[in-house]
Amino acid sequence: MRYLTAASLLTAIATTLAAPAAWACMDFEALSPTESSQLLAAAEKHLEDGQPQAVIDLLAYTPEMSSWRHGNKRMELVAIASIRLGKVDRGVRALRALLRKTPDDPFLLARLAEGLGRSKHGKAEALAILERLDQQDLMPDALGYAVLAQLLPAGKGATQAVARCEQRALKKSDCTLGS
Amino acid sequence: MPLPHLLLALLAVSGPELVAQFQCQRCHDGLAGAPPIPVERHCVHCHQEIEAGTFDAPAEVQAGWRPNLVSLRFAPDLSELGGHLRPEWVEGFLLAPIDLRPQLLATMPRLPITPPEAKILARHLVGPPSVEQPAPAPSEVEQGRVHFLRLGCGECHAYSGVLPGRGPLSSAELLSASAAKLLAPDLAHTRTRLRPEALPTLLQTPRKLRAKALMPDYTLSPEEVSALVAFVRAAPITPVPEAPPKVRLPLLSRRVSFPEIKTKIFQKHCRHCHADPDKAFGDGGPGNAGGLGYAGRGLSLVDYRAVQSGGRDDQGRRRSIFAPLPDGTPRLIAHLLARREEERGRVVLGIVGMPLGLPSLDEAELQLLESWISQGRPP
Ligand code: HEC
Ligand code: HEC
Ligand code: HEC
Ligand code: HEC
Repeated sequence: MRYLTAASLLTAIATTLAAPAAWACMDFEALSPTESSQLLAAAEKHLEDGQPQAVIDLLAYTPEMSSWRHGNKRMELVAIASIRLGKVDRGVRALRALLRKTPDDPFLLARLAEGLGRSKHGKAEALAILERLDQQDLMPDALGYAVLAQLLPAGKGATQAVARCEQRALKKSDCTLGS
Repeated sequence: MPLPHLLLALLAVSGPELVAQFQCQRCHDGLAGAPPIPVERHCVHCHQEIEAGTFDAPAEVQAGWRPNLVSLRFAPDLSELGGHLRPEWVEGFLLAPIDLRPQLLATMPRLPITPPEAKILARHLVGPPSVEQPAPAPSEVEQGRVHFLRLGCGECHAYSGVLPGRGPLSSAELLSASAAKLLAPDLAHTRTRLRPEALPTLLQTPRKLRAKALMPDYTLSPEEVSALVAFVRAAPITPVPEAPPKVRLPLLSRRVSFPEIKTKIFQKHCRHCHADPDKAFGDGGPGNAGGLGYAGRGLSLVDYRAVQSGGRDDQGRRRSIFAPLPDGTPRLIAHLLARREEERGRVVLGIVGMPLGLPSLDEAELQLLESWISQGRPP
C-alpha cells in the first residue's frame, strides 16, 4: 500500500541501512504507514469531537509510529488531549519539546497558549503568544481567538477577538468558552 | 551581472552540477549523467506511470486519478540538443521562459537561475553558437506555405502570426492527445531558437538529428525541404494581438468555506508542490520543503491549519500568505496574479507566479478564492 502515505523512500533507506536483525525488530514493533495514519486520523477526530480521553485511550499504548513525523503527530495529539483533561503541565511540556524543532509553528504555539492559559503562571506568556499570532495574521483557527478573547480583559480587544473567532468558527457557540 | 560574478560562477560550477541543483531531470528525460530521480518524485514519470497503470498503487485508485492528470503528462526530451538549438536562445529561455507549445498546458517553470548560471547551462546543453545562413528567397517562402498546408503540418504545429490559430484543446482532447501533438513547438519561435543549419536535416530525416525526435518523417524531396525551410525561417510574422487579460470578477455574495477552496483550488492546482510529506512519499514539494533550485517556503496547502500557518520570508521567518502587500493585495493573490502576467510575457519582480509553470487560475477560481478571503476565511 505504498501509495497511501508511504515513506517508501524511507523504507528503502531503512532497508539498506539497518542491520537485518534491527529491521526485523522494527518490523515487529512499528505500525505500517497506513495503520499509523488511520490511527492518527481517528484520534484527531476524537479531539475535534471534544473527546480527549478517547485520544489518550487510542494513542497511549500503541507501538511505534511508522515515521518520525507520525511520531510527532502522536505526541502533539496526546499533549493537546492532556491539556484538555486538566494535565496541563504535562501537555505544555510536550508541546514545548515539539516546538524546539519548529519554534514558529502557529498551530503548536496556539495550543501551547491554550495550555498556558489554563495554568497558574502562564497567562501572560499565553497572551503574548496569541497577540503576536493575531498581529501576524497567523492564528491557526477559531479556538486560538476564543482563548485570546478569554485572556484579554473584557472590552474592545476581547470583543474583537470574539468577532474574529466567529468568523473562523463552524458554529458561534465554539467562541464562548466555558472555563 | 558584474564581471567578477560571472568569472566566479564560470569557475565554480559546471553544467551537470547546475542540472542537479535545479533538478531539471525531474521533468526532462535525456540529460545524460544527471542523478536519477525516483518515480515518487518525478513530475512527469509518475504521471505517465499512473496513466499507463504501472504505478505501484491499486488499479482502481490509479483509474480514479487518471482523468485528473492533464498538465504534466509530457515534457520535451533534452537529449542531443547540441546540433539543434541556439545557445543564446536557450540562455534567454531559461531566464524568462515563454510558452513554446500552445497545446501543452505546462510551460517551463521560472526557476531561480542567475544569468551566469543560464550561460553555463546553455553551453552544457547545446554547445557553441551557430553559423548564420543567407536569408531564403520570398518565392521559396510562398512555395513552402503551399507544401505546409498540403502536408497538414498544422495538425500539430501552431504558427502564430503566420497561420490562424486553432484555439485551445478541450480537456478530452488534452487527455487523449499524443506526445507528438502536444510537444510540437509553435513555429513562430523556430527562427530564433533553432540552429538554421539544423533545419534541413530536421525536416528530411528528423531521427538523424535526434534519435528521440517525435516529428514524423515525411520522406520529403529536396525541393520540398528547401521550400519548407524557407517558410519556417522567413514567412512574414504579423504581431498577434494580445488576448484580452483575465479579469477579477466581483466578490461572490454566497458563503464560501474552506472545503470548496481546498477541492477546487489547492488540491487541483497546487498539490505536489505544497504537499504533506506524509502523503507524498516523504516530499513536501518544491514550494514547501524545497526543490527545483528553490529553498522552499515551508508553505503547505493541504488543510486549513497549514494554509493559516503561512510560508517563510527570505530570512526564514514565518509570514501569513494573506498579509497585504504594499498595494493592499494579499500575498497569495499577488502570486496568482503574477502568473497571469507571466503568461503575457511580463515578469513581476520578487513574486514568482503560481501555480509555477502551470496555467494561471481562471476567473471563477480566483473569484472564489478572493471571496473566501474577504469573508474572513471561514473553515
Ligand atoms: C517542472 C518541470 C520542469 C523542470 C523542473 C524543468 N523544465 Fe524545462 N521544460 C518544461 C516544460 C513543460 C517545457 C516545455 C515548455 C513549452 O514548450 O512551452 C520545458 C522546456 C525546456 C526547454 C526547451 C526544449 C525544447 O525542445 O523546446 C529547455 C532547453 C529546458 N526546458 C531546459 C530545462 C533546464 C536546463 C532545466 C533545469 C535548470 C529545466 N528545463 C527544468 C518543464 C520543466
Ligand atoms: C507519486 C506520483 C506523483 C508525483 C511524483 C507527482 N505527481 Fe502530480 N499528480 C499525481 C496524481 C496521482 C495526480 C492526480 C491526483 C488526483 O486525482 O487527485 C496528480 C496531479 C497533478 C496536478 C493536477 C492535475 C493537472 O494535471 O493539472 C498537477 C498540477 C501536478 N500533479 C503537478 C506535479 C508536479 C509539478 C510534480 C513534481 C514536483 C508532480 N506533480 C509530481 C501523482 C504524482
Ligand atoms: C504528429 C505531429 C507533428 C506533425 C504532423 C509535424 N510535426 Fe514538426 N514537430 C513535431 C514535434 C513533436 C517537434 C519537436 C521536436 C521533436 O520531438 O521531433 C517538431 C519539430 C518541428 C520543427 C522544429 C521546431 C522547433 O522550434 O524546434 C519544425 C521546423 C517542424 N517540426 C516542421 C514541421 C513541418 C514542416 C511539418 C509538416 C511537413 C511538421 N513539422 C509536421 C511534431 C509534428
Ligand atoms: C511546480 C511547483 C509549484 C506549484 C504547482 C505551485 N507552487 Fe507555489 N511555490 C512553489 C515554489 C518553488 C515556491 C517558492 C518560490 C520562491 O522561493 O520564491 C512557491 C511559493 C508560493 C507562495 C509564496 C509563499 C511565501 O510566503 O513566499 C505562495 C503564496 C504559493 N506558492 C501559492 C501557490 C498556490 C496557491 C498554488 C496553486 C494554485 C501553487 N503555489 C502551486 C512551487 C509551486
